[in-house]
Amino acid sequence: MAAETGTPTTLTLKSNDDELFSVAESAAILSVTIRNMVEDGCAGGVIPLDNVDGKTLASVITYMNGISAIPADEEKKKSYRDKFLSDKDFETLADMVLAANYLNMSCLMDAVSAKIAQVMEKKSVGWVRRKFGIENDYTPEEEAAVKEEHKWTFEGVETDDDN
Amino acid sequence: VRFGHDDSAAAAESAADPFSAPNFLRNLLMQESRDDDVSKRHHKLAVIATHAVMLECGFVPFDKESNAVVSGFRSPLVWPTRRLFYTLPEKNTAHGKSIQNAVLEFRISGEYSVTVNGRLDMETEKVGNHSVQFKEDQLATFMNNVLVTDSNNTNGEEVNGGAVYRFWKRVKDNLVLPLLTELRQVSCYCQKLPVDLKVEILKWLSAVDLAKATCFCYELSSIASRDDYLWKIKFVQEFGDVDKDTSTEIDCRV
Repeated sequence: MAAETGTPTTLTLKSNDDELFSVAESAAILSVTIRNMVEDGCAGGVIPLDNVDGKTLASVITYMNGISAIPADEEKKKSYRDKFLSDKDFETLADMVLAANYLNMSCLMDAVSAKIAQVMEKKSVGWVRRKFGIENDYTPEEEAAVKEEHKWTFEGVETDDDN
Repeated sequence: VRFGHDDSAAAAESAADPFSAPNFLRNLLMQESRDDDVSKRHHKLAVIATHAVMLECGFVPFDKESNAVVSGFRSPLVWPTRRLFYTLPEKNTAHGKSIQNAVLEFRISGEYSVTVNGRLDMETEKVGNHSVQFKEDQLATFMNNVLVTDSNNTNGEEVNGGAVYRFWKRVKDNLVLPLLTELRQVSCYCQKLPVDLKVEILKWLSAVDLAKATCFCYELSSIASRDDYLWKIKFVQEFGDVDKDTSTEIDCRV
């Protein structure tokens, strides 16, 4: 649906805190949610994205632009994703999972959730709780029991690097 | 569905299984519906279990008439009232403001089916309506799961609380989390993620790390130990895609 002049079509996306973003249609349709809107002809004006805030949407658009600029080369795309996610904290990653799910972007969804899982690998229970803000709701007795039962999973766990 | 279950045996079993939501529900249900017929038990089960998920996620029961939080545990089943009000402890202490509520409406949609609608109890602002429907077969499996947990129950594949887990996941993702989010009370970013998306993240863990996730907290423990989808993925990764008939018979969960 490129305009007749040959300039690429741009879409305007609106975050739930009313920030507006311009993005090339070719990049935006990485989101199946947006692609469906475009195909149904309801992307003429501003596209409201009620479940994504401005900070997260800015990040997602950076990703859309970055990944769509790379030609069909899976290796290069992968290294772009790794680099893109390398400096994100868990809060940002959690927001991006929600956004990727809402926007139906499976490549981003997979990359972000794999990244979160990768951070958890081989870490101690305490480290993961602190890092991810998981509240320990076990009683001391329950915790001792569940840890005893899963003692075998603590083999090879790295030493905590945060204390 | 078997009903003539002995209560004292049930109590003994529940002492043996520290993670047993089914046992808790069963005892409660037995007290509540000793004389009811099957369809009424289905309805009550849906109400009690939904109520339990609300409380687990931080809601407190709220009495609309006295405009106050109901303290202590009170069974939500004051039939035929099928509307239940909830609030959050933080919202209740906001002085000078009207207390914000969430309301659940239970509608019987067929002899054995129940629909639960949830929304914020506000007139002015646009509020979303969230709804979950439990069909007859789902409630029947759930009921079976709650009432019959003895391992010699050969006809049910669900001796491990699978139906309870699926019920919990549906209620939490489709009803409770959206309500919490609308009340803007989701402070911890870990809580923001629906169970479904947590499953999507956990599936990338190795089997060992997935088993370890049981130690983090109750919720992750339920997901890591009850989600069949997760463990099927891990099973296939470890042992290859074995014959389907075999794989359904193997309980590959930890």
